Amino acid sequence: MATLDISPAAAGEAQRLRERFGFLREVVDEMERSVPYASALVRFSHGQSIDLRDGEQSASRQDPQSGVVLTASNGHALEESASDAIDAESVLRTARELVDRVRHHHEDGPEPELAIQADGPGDADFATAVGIDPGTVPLTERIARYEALRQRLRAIEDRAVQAMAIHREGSQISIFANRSGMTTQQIRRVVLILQLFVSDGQQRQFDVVIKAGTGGLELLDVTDAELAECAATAASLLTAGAVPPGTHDIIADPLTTGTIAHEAFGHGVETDMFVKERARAADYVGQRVGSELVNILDDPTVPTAYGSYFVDDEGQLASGTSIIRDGVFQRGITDLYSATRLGIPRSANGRRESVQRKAYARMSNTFFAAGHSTLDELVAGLDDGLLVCRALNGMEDPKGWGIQISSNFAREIKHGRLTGTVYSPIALTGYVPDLLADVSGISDTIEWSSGSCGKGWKEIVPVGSGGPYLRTRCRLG
Amino acid sequence: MDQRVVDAVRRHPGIHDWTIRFQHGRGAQVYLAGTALENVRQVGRDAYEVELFNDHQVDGERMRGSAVVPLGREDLDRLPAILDEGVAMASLVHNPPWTLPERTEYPEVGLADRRLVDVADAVREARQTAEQIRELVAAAGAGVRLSAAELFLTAVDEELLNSRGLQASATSTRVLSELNLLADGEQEAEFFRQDEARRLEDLRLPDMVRDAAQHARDATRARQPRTRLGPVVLSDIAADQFLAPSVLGANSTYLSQTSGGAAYARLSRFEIGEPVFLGRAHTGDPFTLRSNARRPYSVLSYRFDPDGLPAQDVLLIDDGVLRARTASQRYAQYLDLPATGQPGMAEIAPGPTSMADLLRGEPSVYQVVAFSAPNADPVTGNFGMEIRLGYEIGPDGTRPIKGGSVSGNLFEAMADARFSAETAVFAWFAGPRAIRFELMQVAGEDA
Repeated sequence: MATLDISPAAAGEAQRLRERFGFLREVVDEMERSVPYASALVRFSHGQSIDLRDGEQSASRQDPQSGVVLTASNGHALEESASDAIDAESVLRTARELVDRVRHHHEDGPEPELAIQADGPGDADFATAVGIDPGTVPLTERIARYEALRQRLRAIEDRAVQAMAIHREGSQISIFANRSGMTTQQIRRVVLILQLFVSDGQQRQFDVVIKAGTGGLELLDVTDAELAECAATAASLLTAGAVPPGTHDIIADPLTTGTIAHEAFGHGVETDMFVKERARAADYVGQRVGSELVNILDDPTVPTAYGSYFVDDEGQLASGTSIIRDGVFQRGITDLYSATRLGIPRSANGRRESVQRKAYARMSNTFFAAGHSTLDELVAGLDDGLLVCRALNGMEDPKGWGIQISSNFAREIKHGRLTGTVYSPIALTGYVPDLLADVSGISDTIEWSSGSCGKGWKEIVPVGSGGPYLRTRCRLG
Repeated sequence: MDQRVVDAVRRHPGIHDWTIRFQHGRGAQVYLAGTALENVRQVGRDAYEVELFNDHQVDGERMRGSAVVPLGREDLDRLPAILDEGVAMASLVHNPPWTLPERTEYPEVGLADRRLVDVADAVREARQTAEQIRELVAAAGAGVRLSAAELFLTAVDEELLNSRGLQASATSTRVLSELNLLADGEQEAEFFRQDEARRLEDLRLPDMVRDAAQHARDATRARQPRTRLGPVVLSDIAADQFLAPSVLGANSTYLSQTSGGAAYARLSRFEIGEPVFLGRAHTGDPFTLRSNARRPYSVLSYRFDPDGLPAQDVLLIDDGVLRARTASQRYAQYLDLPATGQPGMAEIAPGPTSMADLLRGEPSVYQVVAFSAPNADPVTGNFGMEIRLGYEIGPDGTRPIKGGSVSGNLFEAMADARFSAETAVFAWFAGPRAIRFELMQVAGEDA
């Protein structure tokens, strides 16, 4: 068994998890006497959140979401049972009921054979490396720290009507077992969101500073310069005009770049979409889909990135996937079912919102690789364009290869310089291959952002996205 | 509800008031990938949420701290330690005091489909409904096929108690479906929709499949709209998305803006007794909005809210003027408003004009039936949504459109909104099936 470079405290916790949930292997063994493939995943969480704002404060314990999901294949499809009862006796009872259900409903339908390979990392323990463990900093001290930051942000701008500080920290513990072995992983995530609302008496506008990642409180440091920029940006939006609708040369900031990667060649290459014939990318494996400057990756092993993990929820050991290399589409990201159905190698992207939900092919940390330009060089290269900033959300269209991204604002560029004119809000739309083909410059450093990703409008999982500044062309409205 | 939780909370020092919410949830989920069954799932979960209140003084002033403490089954064996942690959290946050609701009567509100209350029945219904979807799509005509479908059938028994003697219980069910159809044509295209209801029959599967098949066919020959400022009619899914919360949001834009919580946080842009159009002159149809938590079988209806307030039907906006706010017990006391409970189903009064008339105009009208995703900001009202499918309707006929975006400010745009006489029930509101805006910015092919 491997206990990979984890702290003594995490190793001790891993040992306790093994002792408590070692029975999962026996449950899987028993199930596999009746079905061709079985696995078990136990997951639970703990942590705290605080929400501080003008006039009110709140504190919460994280929902433990504890439970087990048992998976069984009947050779053609999967059946699963999920329960919040995770003691050995209850799990065994749930397993036996599931096997009975599978046998009862095993009938010939349109489903082709599903020959699952029981890959997995064997026996191993993993844990996020944590610098400052939130558990070692009393809640009273964290409240004082983030309330002080909130007050500093609010004090910068006279027109502030509300300032919020939201802090979350938590650990997600999971234990996966199949016939290849049992893994444990302890993932620690931290978040700090500072949001300032300003008003001129008529309008309300806002800007936000978000710090998040896998690790400890060391990831949540905020500088005075970041607070000042947040306040100045929010205030500037009170006089922002509507962007002239039409096609523009743009430079996407790292948050917008990351959202482009996520929506365009993240969701669009989730291979469950291939099985459902929903992804146009399925017809473009090995073909050019963007300028040769474009490299997009999905990698759950990026240190401190918000979407990082060690093993996916179906027991696949995490590793990076090159999705687009030098403008050529390489491969998609998989869950167990779609990889098996398509007969392609798995990537570690089978993820669940909770044990109450099915695993799908999902992103981890999806990003454009850095290029060789500086931001100043990218700006200098535009005669008439816009620097699009602070993506708020986006939506995929894997079949039509459309893209929708909402960004909070854009800064005008004329003759290679920022003019100070700001437009808000920004709706960025386009045809993905055109947008990627028009990429004409990429900056040399990557910034990460954190987010919650849905599959369509549900199945929320934590993800990271990121990238450099990216110069391209798209439609704004 | 496990009496251990109630006893532990009652006895625990430092808890001056409390609310306990318990949910016994179970359900069935079925997934089709193409026409093949991918997965059938049976799920169950008991969940507790203790909201505990600690009264203390800060600088001589009385304050109330609260902490929300969700509990899983595993936590029941170590309640004292967890409640200690909760009291510590509550003692560190300081809010103006408020009191909890007292015992009261609750209305009967239709919330459950009896066929889905038992989990074994739900699993059987899920399998049968999946088969029905396969059959309906197979019969939908040449060139259309099933890409994927999901069906979640969930039942929840809920109990609520508080330290003021309040007791309430309810059983509800929820049906969530996703359907994606593919159509052959000039360019193969899909149409995706997600629907939610309390009862299986309210999905109206035959209509859903028929409409989705037509939309998928139309999408195969859709072209981009032109960039212009002109009349846009939002109907069907797009009308719902326009008023829905942005992705992952909790309340629809209007119900968020009209809430006591938004007013207390100084994030509401509306004032009671004032028009809700941000200074724009009201030239459209009378705009009347209710929050109706008693609407039978609406997914946003309830018998009691998380505080234990009974469901109400509240007139919020009358002919474009804000008349009342929804308010939880806490914000009602902070703002001296009636406590209405959390928002229910938004109900918008229909207008006098037929949908056919709303769709007439020179040189043409853009009708949007689906956006890619809702994204109106609940505070600013700003939005910019990609057109997933629509139609350009003019004297020369109707042609499908997709791509490009519609953008603007929701609250300003409603000043000239005209509502259809035909009505529909959507996920986020019930009311006119279509809404027309005279001057909406569309960004598409450059002129």
